[in-house]
Amino acid sequence: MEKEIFIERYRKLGWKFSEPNVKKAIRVNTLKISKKVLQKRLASKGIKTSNIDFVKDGLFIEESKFSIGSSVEYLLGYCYIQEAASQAAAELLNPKENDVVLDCCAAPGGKATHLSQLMKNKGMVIALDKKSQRLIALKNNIERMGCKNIVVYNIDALDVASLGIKFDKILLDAPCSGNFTLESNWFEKRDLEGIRGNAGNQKKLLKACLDVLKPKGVLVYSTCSLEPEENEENMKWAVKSLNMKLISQKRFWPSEKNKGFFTAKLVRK
Amino acid sequence: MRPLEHFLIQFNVRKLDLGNNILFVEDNKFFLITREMQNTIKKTKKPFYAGNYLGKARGKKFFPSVSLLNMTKSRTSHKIWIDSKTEWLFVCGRDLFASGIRKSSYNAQKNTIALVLNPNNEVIGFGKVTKSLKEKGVVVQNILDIGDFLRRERKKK
Repeated sequence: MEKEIFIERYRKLGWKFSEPNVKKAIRVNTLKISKKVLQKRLASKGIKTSNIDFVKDGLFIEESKFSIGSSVEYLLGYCYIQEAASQAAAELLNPKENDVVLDCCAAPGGKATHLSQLMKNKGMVIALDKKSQRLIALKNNIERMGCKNIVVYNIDALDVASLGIKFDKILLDAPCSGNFTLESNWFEKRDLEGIRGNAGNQKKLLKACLDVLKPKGVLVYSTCSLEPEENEENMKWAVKSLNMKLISQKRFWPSEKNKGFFTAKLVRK
Repeated sequence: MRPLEHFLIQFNVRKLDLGNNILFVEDNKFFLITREMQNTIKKTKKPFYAGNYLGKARGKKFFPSVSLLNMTKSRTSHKIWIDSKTEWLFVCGRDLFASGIRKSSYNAQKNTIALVLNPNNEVIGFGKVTKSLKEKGVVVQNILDIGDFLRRERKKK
């Protein structure tokens, strides 16, 4: 599919195509350090940061002579390198300290460790990933970030019912087509057929999640796709076919602040 | 439990404070889990990871996690503080020389092990004392440092 066709789709959805220079972002790990103290420490090493206005614990890297991933602060687990908009998903779910929460496609652990942080290391996060080689990165990040309330299983989220657990809240950051800011030649690699295929898989995941969500339980669905089939249309389907209530949905178009993201909050009736 | 106990005794720590947690061992990996986690795990298939990871045993040898080193911090006197210049070298896997050591909180004898802390009093790893901390050459051999988080990822690739 031609790049122009995608650009035209985005225009119809209300966004004028551009290729922004996206700021790097981190999430402060408040399990270990406060935002203020970390900012001060990073500043002493020549890393200038600023607050992200739409998430609580996020910081933009405004200026740095070296990668923050090569800092002692990163290795001590004081922060997680995480795109600004993707920090919105766990915040939207708003897990509480005594909740049992599911993170469906958890590796490499950005959102699972964020959930743990929001729950102050209490309650329980069940993190799943079907790809065993991705679990190493997940384990490393859980350990580095000092999360102590996460249990990881090497299973496909489609089989989550086999665990026999019912969840208060679920975060489904669904595997998706991604977008052009995340991958070079994205436009050449993607077509509508593939996007529809991904949307179909996402519907299966939504259904699997609904089966293990407690009544009145909350599900946050997110993708880094810009395509309506994987976002708004899937939400319409969840409302109609799964009898879920859509509380909110939000698009983050690519900008200087973020690379493009979609979040939606649903409640099981 | 034994490999973990043997490891802790080297720091003069007889017992670990488990609080309300339970020790869970799976495939020689040691975890601290809550009762709620234990109840969940009993009902499900084997988890890959659970709770607070303490380390793994291979034969009689125990490979601690950074979390376990942090738990040991308040219970041991075996601590060596290094300067900020040496901090990054240690985190990159290098051994310690006398010039980088600021102080030690115990009489560091040859073949003892000690936590290594940075000027902010944060545990950044541990090592084995190879000779008097004032002698020339390597005085503390790096056994584990937090840079391992990056090296593991690179090895994986």
